[in-house]
Amino acid sequence: MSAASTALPNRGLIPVQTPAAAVPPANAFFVILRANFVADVKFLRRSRLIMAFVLVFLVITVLSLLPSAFGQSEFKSFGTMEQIYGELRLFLAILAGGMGLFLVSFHQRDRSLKMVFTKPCTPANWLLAAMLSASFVSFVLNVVICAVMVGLSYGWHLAVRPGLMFLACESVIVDIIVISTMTLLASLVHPAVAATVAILFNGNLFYSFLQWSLQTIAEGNKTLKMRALEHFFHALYMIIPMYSPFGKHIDSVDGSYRVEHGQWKYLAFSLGYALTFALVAYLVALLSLRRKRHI
Amino acid sequence: MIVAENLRVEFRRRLFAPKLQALIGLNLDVRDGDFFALVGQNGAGKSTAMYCMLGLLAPTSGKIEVMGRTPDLGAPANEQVAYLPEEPHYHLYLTVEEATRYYSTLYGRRVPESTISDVLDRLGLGPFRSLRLSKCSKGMKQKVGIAQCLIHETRLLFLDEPTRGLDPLVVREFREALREIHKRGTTVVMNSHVLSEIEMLANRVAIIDAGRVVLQDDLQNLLTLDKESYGVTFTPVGDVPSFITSVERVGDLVRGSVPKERLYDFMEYSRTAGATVQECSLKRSSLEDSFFKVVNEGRATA
Repeated sequence: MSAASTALPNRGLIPVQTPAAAVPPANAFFVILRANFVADVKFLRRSRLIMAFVLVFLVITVLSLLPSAFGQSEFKSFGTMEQIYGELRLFLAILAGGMGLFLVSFHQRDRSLKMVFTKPCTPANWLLAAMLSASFVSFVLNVVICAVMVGLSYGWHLAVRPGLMFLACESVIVDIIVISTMTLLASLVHPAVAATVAILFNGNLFYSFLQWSLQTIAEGNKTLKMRALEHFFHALYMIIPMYSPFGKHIDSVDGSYRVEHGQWKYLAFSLGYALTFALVAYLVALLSLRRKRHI
Repeated sequence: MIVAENLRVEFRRRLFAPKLQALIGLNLDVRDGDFFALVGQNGAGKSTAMYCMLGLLAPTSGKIEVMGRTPDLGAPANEQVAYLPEEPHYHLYLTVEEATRYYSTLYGRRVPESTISDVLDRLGLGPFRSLRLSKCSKGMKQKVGIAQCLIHETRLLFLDEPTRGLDPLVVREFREALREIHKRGTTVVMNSHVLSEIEMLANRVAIIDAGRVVLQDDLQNLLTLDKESYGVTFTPVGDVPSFITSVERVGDLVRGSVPKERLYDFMEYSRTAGATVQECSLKRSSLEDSFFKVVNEGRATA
């Protein structure tokens, strides 16, 4: 390493400096956004934790595919493919959460953001790039996995159904919601707390609490405390993000890979919900990021 | 260029921990074209003051303006600001070249590859451009920080302990670069513990102690602060007279300090006793002398 110092050329350190523009270029925001985006994608590609997670899941998937390599014809069924794709989509959702969490918490904790915010790069720009890069990587992985499943369908002589594309799109939407949730939590609390909250306090938990309180009220316990509890659980259930907001309308696709005529619109509704939630999460995370001390 | 009035910063290190007072009514005035040094002990508040100037830390109360505006995270005015942090808090997953490109692109302008190569070569980082920052030594990381400061011509340059971890050769080159940048019109604000370095570079100095500025003046005024005494070196004969203070024996010689009004007494002593005087000159205090004097006086007054 010491060669770096001994090789110092005797020409002075100052290069031809780029003078600062009196007025920032019109596309400055996008130039900075692109720089942040590229840096974030490099972070995701080089993060050992994320890479280890990907490898573990890939090994599990490959092991589950091994029986087909030995020619067990009953294994090459639609059911098996459905199971593998389901597992891979779950893996992608967890990975998406990890990406959102690490992108924000890593940069906050290693204090490298002070190198970013002391330049004309706003927290809004940096946060947008973080969410976009995680969503982009998630999108690419979804496309790759969808392509693998199409390849597997051909290999196993199964019909390639439009449901495969439908589920891939739904998976991207779910990932956007997961990324937004984890980005928001990572900007508010310690990453370990964020992960715990995301795992424990999900929609299902508060839905079951809500159901329990409704059932208790229906059974005759109509006390003020119980009613207040019911409203509280209802409010929490509404606030907690839903990963599959129109799940009951599109659940049938998962089992058959067939898409009925009216089901595509729910994909659009889900996208609308995901983008709205992402916007809210972005604004709250931005507020939190602006209030933090980046020193 | 930078005005801080009655700046107070309080924060908690942990939730429910008692509040720490990092700055207590700090006043500062950095003029356009200054090479301004912030001097103080560890924990005096130098870095906190710099974080406020950079917009990284919002003061609890008081006013701070940099180039006429309140500093903020990612403000458009940062187009005119470059910053070299004390600790190498860089994006360690990027390579030397990627990090330099990334930091310079955050100014909203694409920087030609030739400029990046040029600055990396000048800093001796050329052969290490593909090395990740996580694998670099502290000195190399510091050089990356210097590289991103030198690429853009800015009006204001903040340096937090800039030569920490650098080898002497680069320190000298860097000093020359700083002089050149300052000569071109850039205002430089520097935190440093190396007082000799500040003597070489700065034209104005603020001494910070316990969160407040105890003295802010031109460096020349601080260096000639002690005009009231003479430094003497002589071969003593018999006892050393009591009016000679700060006596220090070096072999056969005695070094000491003689108050201005007792100079003739010293001359008389040397003539009558036959002491050989090696040196007798108006005492010029170093920045170190002034620093300790000012800090101690400040504490005594407080």
